Amino acid sequence: MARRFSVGDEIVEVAGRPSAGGATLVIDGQAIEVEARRAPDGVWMLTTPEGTQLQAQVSLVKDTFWVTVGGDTFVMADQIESRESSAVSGGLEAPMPGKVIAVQATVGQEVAAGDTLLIVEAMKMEHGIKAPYDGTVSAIHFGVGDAVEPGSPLCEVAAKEDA
Amino acid sequence: MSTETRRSVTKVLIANRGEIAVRVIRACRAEGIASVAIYSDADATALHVRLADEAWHVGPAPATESYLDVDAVLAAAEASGADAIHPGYGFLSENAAFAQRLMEAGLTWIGPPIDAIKAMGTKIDARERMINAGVPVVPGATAEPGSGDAGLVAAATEMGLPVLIKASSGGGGKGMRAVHEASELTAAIAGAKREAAAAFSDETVYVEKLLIAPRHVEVQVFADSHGNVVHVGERECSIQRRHQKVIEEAPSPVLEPALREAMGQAAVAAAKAVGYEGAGTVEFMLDSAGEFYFLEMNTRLQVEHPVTELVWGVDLVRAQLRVARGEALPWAQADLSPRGHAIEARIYAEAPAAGFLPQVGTIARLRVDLGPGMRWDSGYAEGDEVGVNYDPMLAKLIAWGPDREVARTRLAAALRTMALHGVVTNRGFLVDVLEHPKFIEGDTHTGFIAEHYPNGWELPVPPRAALVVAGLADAHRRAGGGGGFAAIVETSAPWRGVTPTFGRTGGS
Repeated sequence: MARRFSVGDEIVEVAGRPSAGGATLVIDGQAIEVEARRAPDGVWMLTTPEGTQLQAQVSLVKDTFWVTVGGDTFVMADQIESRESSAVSGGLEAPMPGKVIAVQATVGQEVAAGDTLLIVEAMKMEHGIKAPYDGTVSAIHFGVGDAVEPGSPLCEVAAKEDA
Repeated sequence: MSTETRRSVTKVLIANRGEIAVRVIRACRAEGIASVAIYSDADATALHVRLADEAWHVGPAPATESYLDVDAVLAAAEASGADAIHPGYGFLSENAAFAQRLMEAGLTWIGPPIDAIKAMGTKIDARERMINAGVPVVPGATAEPGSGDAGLVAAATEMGLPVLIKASSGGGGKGMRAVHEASELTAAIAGAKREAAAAFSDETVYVEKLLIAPRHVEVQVFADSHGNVVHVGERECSIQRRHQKVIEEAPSPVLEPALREAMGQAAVAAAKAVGYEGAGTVEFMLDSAGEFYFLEMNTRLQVEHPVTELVWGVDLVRAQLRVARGEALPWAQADLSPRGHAIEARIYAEAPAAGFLPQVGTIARLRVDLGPGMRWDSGYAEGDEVGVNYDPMLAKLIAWGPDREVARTRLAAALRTMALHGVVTNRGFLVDVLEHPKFIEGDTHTGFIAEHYPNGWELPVPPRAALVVAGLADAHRRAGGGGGFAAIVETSAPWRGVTPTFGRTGGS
């Protein structure tokens, strides 16, 4: 199963399978062999097909990869295609550049986890922005027709306090 | 000057949390005395609780109901048998009523005399004391008695614009307005008063000359109860964002020895003028002509004290413990001399590419490579949760070097290779500032971030290498079991009661 990452304005698909000495990866349709070994503390040492040596640290938190490599850290959320994406990755942010095509909630409204709050159209696909938990809609930052950037907070839901 | 004899400091309750509580616990260990942590519901297993000899619960997560609850803190002190309280910074550290209460309870206050806290607590009074002590202050004025806002407008006009309207009881930029046009004065005064009344229950404001592109240079002072007062050099804290310091260093890149000595003596005079004891910081503005002006005195330990410790070879917190016991200062002025240079970077849980909004999450991985000259002061460890209840500062990374460039290079390299995963931080922004040509030149002033980052800061686009790493790790994770990939941590952050802000593609 491929991961989909935003790189600038593009979505790049990354898939792969492990091999004895590393992995075979398919990045943006191109297959590459990566040599890699992993230290007990989780640090990866890898050599790219071009012969570049890299040290890297990586964590996966929910569907977001945190990658420290080459003197910087990159936070890369998997831009999951399915409609579940919103619930999994939080759902209150625009998943990709697009346009709000419907607002289905109002400020002050009580919502249940999974209720659709807004619909964003991006890359010719509709994405339902769903409440990640039960709560009350406390803010809606965009209206129908507004353009949104990936990661823009679209609305806010104050979680219902546990009894 | 107190003539009090020795006071008991054998078991110290630290009325704070996070990195400063950890710092005080370490000083207690170094001094061979017991430490007592306090904690809220949100901090039951926090790092300071894990490190202290014992820990007492003081209330629910909101600070007003726990760390700021004087009754709860004093009850914890009594229950634990602590004989002294260290307030850290923030929270109750400049609360004279708290200090009074604990002294009445027979506890030792590891802080300055109450009168000194009060004397520096309101800016108008502090300014007058400084003027009387011969310490230069920013040209300023209060309204003639009874003249009201019109009097303040007249005072500002006479002084000449631009000016700052400031709240007498203010701090942290609240109740403060810069005014460049005469037509804006009346509205700015009204706005500052409203903000001051809401934040400090005191709407008194005054007017100060606005300095253009000043440096923020502060002097560490230390006094004991035997009349000894020394200064421990300056720190430059010009890299600020909305009056919040981001990067600090010692010494200042621009201070010549003569100016250092003049500012040091002015700071000592300021401390003497209020009968100070313990560690304090006298803040000055330094203008481009080399003139310096008293800004305020912080009657507590500062966040950025480590740069002074590294350069001057002192342990300020241990010295606080000793002075609180009634001992003489461990150093005379002649014993103190600076060596090399130190720079501190404050690591905040905030998103510099999204308006510096505070961030929450669970720290999935935290690895910092500390070589010679490096120091890491943190309130969090790998696996800890960063919530919404407290200050977003997670840690301070400090580098010392024989000169500024070595310190700067060490700090930038450590920040570059640091892995702090699971919570978005300002790490990448800190690297950017440290590698900015103007910072490298030492050309810093309090408007540095506003001038050089007028449109904020942008996340770097992930390079191919980052995609390779993600794909590699993911492939092995999917293959399952055998690998046992410790680096892959799956956590579920409890978002309960908060508005989550999620990490997004790009650098942190």
